[in-house]
Formats: sequence, C-alpha cells, structure tokens
Amino acid sequence: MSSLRNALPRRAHKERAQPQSRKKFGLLEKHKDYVIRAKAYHKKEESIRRLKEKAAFRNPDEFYFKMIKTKTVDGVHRLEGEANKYTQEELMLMKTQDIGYVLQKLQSERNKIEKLTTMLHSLDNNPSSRHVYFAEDREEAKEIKSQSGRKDALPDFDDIPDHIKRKTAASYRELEGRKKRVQELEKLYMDMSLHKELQKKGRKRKLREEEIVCPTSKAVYKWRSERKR
Amino acid sequence: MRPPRGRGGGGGFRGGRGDGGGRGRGGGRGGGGGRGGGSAMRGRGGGRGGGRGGGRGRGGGGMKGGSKVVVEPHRHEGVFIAKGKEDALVTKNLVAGEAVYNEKRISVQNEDGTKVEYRIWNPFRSKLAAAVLGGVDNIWIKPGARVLYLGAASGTTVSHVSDIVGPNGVVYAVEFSHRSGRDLVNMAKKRTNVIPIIEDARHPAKYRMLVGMVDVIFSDVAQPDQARILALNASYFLKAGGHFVISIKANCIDSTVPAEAVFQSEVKKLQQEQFKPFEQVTLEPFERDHACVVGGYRMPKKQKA
Amino acid sequence: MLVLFETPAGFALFKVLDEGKLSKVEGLWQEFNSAESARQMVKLKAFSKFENTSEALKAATCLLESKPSKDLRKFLRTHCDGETLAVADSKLGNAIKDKLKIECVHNNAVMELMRGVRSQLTELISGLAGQDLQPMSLGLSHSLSRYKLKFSADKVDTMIIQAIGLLDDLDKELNTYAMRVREWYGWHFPELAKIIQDNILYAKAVKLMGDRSNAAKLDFSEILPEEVEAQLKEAAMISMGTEVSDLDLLNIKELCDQVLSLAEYRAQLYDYLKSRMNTVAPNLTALVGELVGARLIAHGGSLLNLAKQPGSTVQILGAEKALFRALKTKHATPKYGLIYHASLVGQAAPKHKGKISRSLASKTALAIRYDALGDGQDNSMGLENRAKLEARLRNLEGKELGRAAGSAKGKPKIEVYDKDRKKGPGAMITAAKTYNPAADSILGLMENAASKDDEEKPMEEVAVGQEKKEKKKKKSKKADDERTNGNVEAENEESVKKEKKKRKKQVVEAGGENVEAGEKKKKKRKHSEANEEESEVPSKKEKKKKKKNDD
Repeated sequence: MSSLRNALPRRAHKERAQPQSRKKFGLLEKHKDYVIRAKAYHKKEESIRRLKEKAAFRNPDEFYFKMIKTKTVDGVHRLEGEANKYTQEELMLMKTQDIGYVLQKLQSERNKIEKLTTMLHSLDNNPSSRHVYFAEDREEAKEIKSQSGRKDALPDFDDIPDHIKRKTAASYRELEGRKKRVQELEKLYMDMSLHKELQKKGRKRKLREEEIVCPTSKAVYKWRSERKR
Repeated sequence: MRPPRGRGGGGGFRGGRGDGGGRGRGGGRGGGGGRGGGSAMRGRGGGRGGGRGGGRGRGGGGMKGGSKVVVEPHRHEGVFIAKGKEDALVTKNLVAGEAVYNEKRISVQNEDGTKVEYRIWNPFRSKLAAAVLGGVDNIWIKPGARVLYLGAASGTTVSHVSDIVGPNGVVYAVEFSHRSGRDLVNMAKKRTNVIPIIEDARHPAKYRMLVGMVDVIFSDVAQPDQARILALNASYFLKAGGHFVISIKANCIDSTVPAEAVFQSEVKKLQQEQFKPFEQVTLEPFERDHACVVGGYRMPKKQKA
Repeated sequence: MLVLFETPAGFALFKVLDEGKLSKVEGLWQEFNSAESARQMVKLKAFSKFENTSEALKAATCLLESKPSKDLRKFLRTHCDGETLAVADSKLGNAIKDKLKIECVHNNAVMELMRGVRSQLTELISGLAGQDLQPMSLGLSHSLSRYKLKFSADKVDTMIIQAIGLLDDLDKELNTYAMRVREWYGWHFPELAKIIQDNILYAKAVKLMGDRSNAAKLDFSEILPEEVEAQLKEAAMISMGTEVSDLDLLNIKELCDQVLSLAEYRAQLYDYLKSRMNTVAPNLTALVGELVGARLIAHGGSLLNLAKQPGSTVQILGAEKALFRALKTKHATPKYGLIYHASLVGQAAPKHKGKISRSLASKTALAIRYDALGDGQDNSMGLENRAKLEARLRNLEGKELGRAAGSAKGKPKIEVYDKDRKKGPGAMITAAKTYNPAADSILGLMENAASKDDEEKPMEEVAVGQEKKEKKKKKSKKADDERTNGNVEAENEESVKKEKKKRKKQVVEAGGENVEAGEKKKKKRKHSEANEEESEVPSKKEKKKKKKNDD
C-alpha cells in the first residue's frame, strides 16, 4: 500500500555531478538544464522564423507618416538625432573613458607579461650570448677547445613526462599571445590618443609625404607652437 | 531542430590548454571570463608556496601523472632547473616559506614525503643568473663556499647566493648605499649565513675586522675603477688559488667605445693584477652591453707534465 | 716586529719570528700555505678579548675612523714595547704613533703578512675555532650596520600599522560586547536600552545599578544627565522585565567592567597612536590628521611604500574597488578615498570636495616623501602647506560666491534647443551605480561606527546628500532642471561660516542692483528673462534671510 511505503524512511537519491576528470567541461547538464536551453533556443528560432515571414510578406506600398523624415541607409534604419546626440565635451569625455579602458587593459597585460617572463627563461634554447675563453699559450688553447665541445651538451631533458612538456609549451604560447596583444593595444592606444588630440582646439596641419622625417603608414600632424597660459 | 550541444552548459567555459589560439581572438563571451579564470588558475599553479602535488627529483623512473613540476639539478652545484608551467632557474630556499623580493616559489614533494621549496631566480634582475643561463662553465660558487659579494644592493642576488652556499657557507655582502643597505640588513636577519657590511668597497681596510679569507669574490659594483676595487679586495681577502666573478657594464666604464673594446681593456687591467681570466660571457638577451668575466687569483703555475 | 690583527673576537698581537723572509714579498704567501710553516713565521703574543658586543662595536667604530680606542691603546701600551708595529691601515698607524709613540709600518710586506695571518687565523689563535668566529662576526656586523644606518627605534612605522589595526579590532570588539550587555541586561530591564543610547553610559549605569529596584535609591548624576536619570527611575518602577538572581547580575557586572576597561584601553591606544604619528610622520599628521595619516600608512604597507606613490594614487587610496569598477564600466572614477575623512575635505562644500581632495592629495604626497626620506624632524613643512590649502579653499569659495551673485556679463550660456540631445550629465559623468546595502537595515542608520567601508562611504554620502537637497528643492518651489544646480549651489553656500554670510549679503545685494540696472537697457525678451531671474533672486534672498533669522 502507498501509505506503508510513505512510513518507511528511504535514502534520498542524490543528483550526480560532473566527474572529477571531466571537471574542465563545467557543469553536468541535466534534463531540467537542457529544457531551459532548448526552450530559449526554440523561442529564438521561432521569433526569427516569424520575422522572416513578415519580411517575406512585406507590402511594398506601405506608408507611415514617420517615413517622411527618416530614411534607411543600406537597409538599416538610422535614427534621427544620432549625429548630434552628444556635445563635444561629452564626446571628449567618452573618448577619455575609452582610452582609459584601453590603457588599463594594456597595463594589466604588461604586468602579466612581466610576471610570466620571471618564470620562463627559455632554458631549452642555446644561449645567444658570446662566450670567450682566455688561454695563456697554445697548449692551453687546444685543451680548452677540446673541453668546450664536451660542455656544450645541455643536461638532458628527455625524461620529462609529456604532460609537463605540454604545460611548458602552453606557458610559452600564452606569453607569445600576450606580447602580441600588448603590441596591438599599444597601437590602438596611440591611434586613439592621436584622434583625441585632433579633436582638441589648436592649429595643426597634416604633413605632406616629403616633409615627414621618418615615414610611417599613419598620417603625421604638426601643431603650431603656442604658449599655453 | 535540436539545439547544439554546448560546451559545459553556458557560463564560463574554463577551457583547457588547447584554447590558447582562441584567446588571441580577443572579446568573446568566454574570452574575458576564461582568460581571467585561466590566468588565475595559472597563478595558483605557479607555485606560490603551500604544497602542491609532487614533482619528482631526477632519476625517478616511472613518474606518476599527479606531478605538476619537475626539478632537476643544473650543471652547477646548488642550482636547479624547474619545468612545469614554469621553465626556470631555481635555487633551494634556505628559509622555507618566505620570499625575499616577491619572487615565485615552487614546492615539490620528495619520494619520502618531505617538502622542499625552491625560489625562482630571475635572470633579468640578477647578473649571476644571466651568466649561468649564458652558459658560463663554472661559477665557483658552490655549497659550503665562502663568498665576498661586492655591490650587494638590496640583496636579491645575495639571497640566491646564500641559498647556493647553504648553511655551511658564508656570504659577506658589501653595500654602500643606506637605502639598499636597510633592505640588505632586513634580508640578512632571516638568513644567518649572510653578513651585511654597509661600507664602501673601495676601502676594504674598513671592514677587515668582519671578513675572513674567502674562496670567491663576486663583484657587481658598476664603477669605472671596478678592476682596482676588485684587486684591492682580493689582496685583502681572496685566498691564493681563489676565483673571482666580475660583471662589467660597458656603459659605465666608457660609453664612447664599443662594448667589446671595453671588455678587452678590463680583462687586460685584471691580468696586470695577478688575476688570470678563464672565460667571458656576454649577458644577452637579459642585459645589453654587459659581460661576465670569470677567472682565478694567484693560480699556481701548472707543471708541464 | 709585531703585527696588530683585528678579529671580531678581539685584538690579536703576533710576533714575527722570521723577519728575513719579509724582504721577499712574493714568496711570503707561500709560507702561510700550511699551519706548521705559518706557526714558524708568526706567533701569537697577546690577545685582548671583547667582553660583549657593545665593546666590540665601540672598537669597530673607532677603527672605522682610523682612531685607536681606549682599550686598544691600553692593550698596545702593555704588550708592545720597543718593537715596530705592523698595521693594516696607515692612518691608524699615524694615530698610534702620535698617541703612543710606537713606530708603525704599513707596506706590501705587511699586507702579505696580514693575508697570511688571516688565512691561518684559527690555527694561530689556539682558543678560537672557526665556528665561534662566525657568529661573532655576524653579531658585530649587524650592530655595526645598525649604527651606520642610524637605526632609530622610534621611527619605525610598523608600530603605527599595528596600532591602527588594533584600534579597528577594538572598536569591533567593543561594539560586540556592548550589544551583548544590552541584550543580556535587557532581559531584566528592557526599557533601559532605549533610554540610554550610549554604550559606555549604559555599562556604567548597569554597573552602578545592578538590580533595577536599586535605581530609585541611587544617584546617577555623575553618569547621566538629569532628564535621562529621571526617565530611568521612572521606567525602573514600571519595567516589564523579569527578575534575575544575584549571580546573573554579578556576571553582567563583570561584562560591564570588561566593556569599560576596553573603552579605557581604546582611549589610551588612541593617544599612543597620536604620539607615534607625530614622531614618525609629523608633516603628514599636520596636513591630514593622525587617524587619516595612520590609515594611509597602513593601506600603503609602510611609510616608504607610500612615499613611492604619486599624488593621484594617494587621492584615491582606499577606493580601489570603486576605481576599477568605474574604469571597467566606463563611468566617472571616484574623486576621493581615505582622504575624504581629512578635516580639510570635510569642511569644504560638496562642490569643492573634489578639487580640495586633489590639492590635498598632492601636498600630502610631498609631506609623506619628506617624512619618509628626509631628515627633518619638525612639522613646519606640513603646517605651511596646510595654510596654503586653506587659502586655496577660501579662494575657491570666494570665486563661487562671485559667480552666483551674477553680473552684467556673467549670464549663463543660452544653448540652442535640440530636442534629441540629452539633458543633464547622463551616465558618463556620474559615478557607476552600486547597490547600497546600508539602505536595507535600519541598524545601519543608528550606528555611526567608524568601521564602515571607506570606499563606499564617500560615494553613498555624496549621493545621499545630493538626493536630500533635490528633495528639498521639489518641496519648496517649482524649478526646472537647469535651475536646480544653481539652487543647490546657493544652498551649499549657506553652510559656510558666519563671516562669509556677511560678505555674501553685500555681494547679493550688489548683484541685485546690477540686475536692476541692466534691466533698463535690455530688449523685451531679455527684459522678461531678467525679470524671471530677478524674481528668483529676491525669492532666494528671502529664503536665505528667513533661514538666517531662524539660526
């Protein structure tokens, strides 16, 4: 009978979690998680389908009064007043904030690179330094030459297990990636600061090709020298 | 249509190493979170003390999959190499659990269960580490040696030398500046084999009371008359048959002459003072126009067999 | 010939046994290759031990200046008679010759001899082993370094950091215990908690009273003011609390004792902190005060670390969370951190707090560097800078008054109307919004504990201040957005001292006259506008006068 079953205490079945070896894939999705995901997906799918349908059945002769003033550019409706939405001061402020954000990321990347270079010393590469030996006379020089051949062999690194080799390689790859990112961010920072300077007041002119001392791919500007008060 | 099988149900995908390329693609949902999470993991793994799983010393045949770092001895005695997420030169920490200048530390468990801590030696900050990585044959600083260190600064390299010579050796650290001297003395409080001397290295007579005979002199003073300083100190304190290691900064001797010429002139000056140079190594790529010269003092003449 | 050799253990005098070998300087070092040949070369004649480290230190410092110390002179006088003395330092040799008339010699041979002796020191001095020598050398070197670095025990900033940490801990503990006393005693006499608000007075009252039935007989005049005492006695009669035994009362009294002693200790600690701050960083104290200065040092880790920071960092120390959040979400960064609690920033009007905090931060950074790295001991630099800053503050407020008073030329800029442009600052200029947890509980409103989050406090205070003022605006008069700022400014000026009020009255009246004069010359549209302004200004004046009458 159902009532007797309710009287007996039974161990509650617990939900199983992601096994330790697969922890890197995150949470183990159960049916309820799947349902949420599926519902979201289908809802989006459905709304796209409906929009496509509406677009297919568009009336080419439709007219609304707002169409008098507004227009579409390349099929995208551009809102009016977007051009004059912000004053000059606000625009400069926003530029400052953007440049501050880029600078923040740049500095954080630089710090991370510094931390990485303290622990990645490229031990496997042959040293790129010049090594000079001093000898008193020819016999000593011959002796040193024969010995140096022996010492060139680096301590063998064969018995390093694979997973450690992979970790080291991954660290070096990360360092490379960060260095590249720092370069890109620096370029971006330079561009943004130049753009900001151009918006400020101050008489300037663009230098022509022949006037530029060190030719770069970017434009070079020269400001008229005025005493700042 | 079925929804695609996502990787780990939305949220932060803490990707494995294979996602290194993906990180280059900036932005992205996983990018920001993943990068933050990834580097935090790496930071934790980067060995900030506190025992992590065992690496093995060398010679451990079947290494188990749980080890994260492998530490092997270097050609020079007292110096080690760590491989794992780091790929670095390390020395065994004399004072376990403490960092001297916020360097990373690596904890490794031996086969018999004891934990050993190593400190990473930064070649960008230490000329001696740069020389070791530059392939110098012999630094002559080994466990149990007595070392006189001229130009100790805040004691960052001195701490590593103290790690190498161990509790049986001594390091006499000479530094003239008071600011760095304070840091040096604080470092020496923790390490009893470092003897701090706040004096000008040009006048070794002033600290003759504190120093005994030493086996090696390491000089990093960056002064134009450093050869004379080394000679003076050697005449007081360096044993016959002892060795010296001097780091030469070309800019500080003569900035108009090319670096090679500066190194040659310095070596010549040393040869005139009873020093016998063995080898010279430039410290590229860690320092520019720097060289490290290693040699002997009052070496006994070799009998031709 | 005798050789004077200094060791960390004491002075040693060796007699050279074979003077002939001295002429051959190059071969001399070979003599000392082994202990036997060394013993044949020199012999220990006398040894003067240092009794303790201070004696060794004295001797070492004298040697640094190439002067023979008294002990050395005595030693030489007793043992060195008639012989020449080989010394390692020629200046020392000269000094010995002058004072003791002993012939001293210093040449290459002597240096080689010294080398040899040094290499065989442990063999030549029988009682001295290598292991003994090293700890002595270590101790002597540390004392010598301390002497050289002029280590002064009262310039240590660790004390400050520990003291301020302890102060915060004590506050928390005190609060916890006081709350516990209230709860515990509230079982017996609940009304007392609402009558006496202060924790210390509550504890004193409970200690004096014990059982509430004693309240009527006792005299609380030393602890409590009149009305409170009366309230207490009244409430004691009609209290609804239960009876408690004597043992319980005893324990409650002991807890009260603890609370009172902790409070006393906290006061003592605060005095200690103040005295230490004045010794360690006098200029910083003169500028920002002891408490803020101590917090800055504690935040920076050490005075030297703090000295490395630029003024802009000192300005927002303590508001890091808000700073990085603002940088990440592209909002306005915070204008002040710990510096907000300095008196100079406190006495500035909210509009000027940002400017004053920046000026104060730059001067503070200078004062910190002067204290950490300079040699001066007095706080003259701090006081000078403080005077400069106060002058600047007065200047700022004066300018503001001038602008608000209005002049013929100084009309606000009339902008072309653009319906799409956003009115007001928008998200870019205000700070990033955060969830304000203090708004949840009412307990937060009652307590004015110093242990609140520093970085949240300035933000929420400013926000709350602004909101309050805006609410007042809506209640008192109808005004549109652009006028609100002007009115807020006007209201802020009211909170300035009385001397300024007199000045303001004159300026305002002058402003009113100017407006009237200008009115006659202007066109119709501007006429009506001027009328509007004038109607606002006199109404503002009336409001101010009314408030002044109230004060």
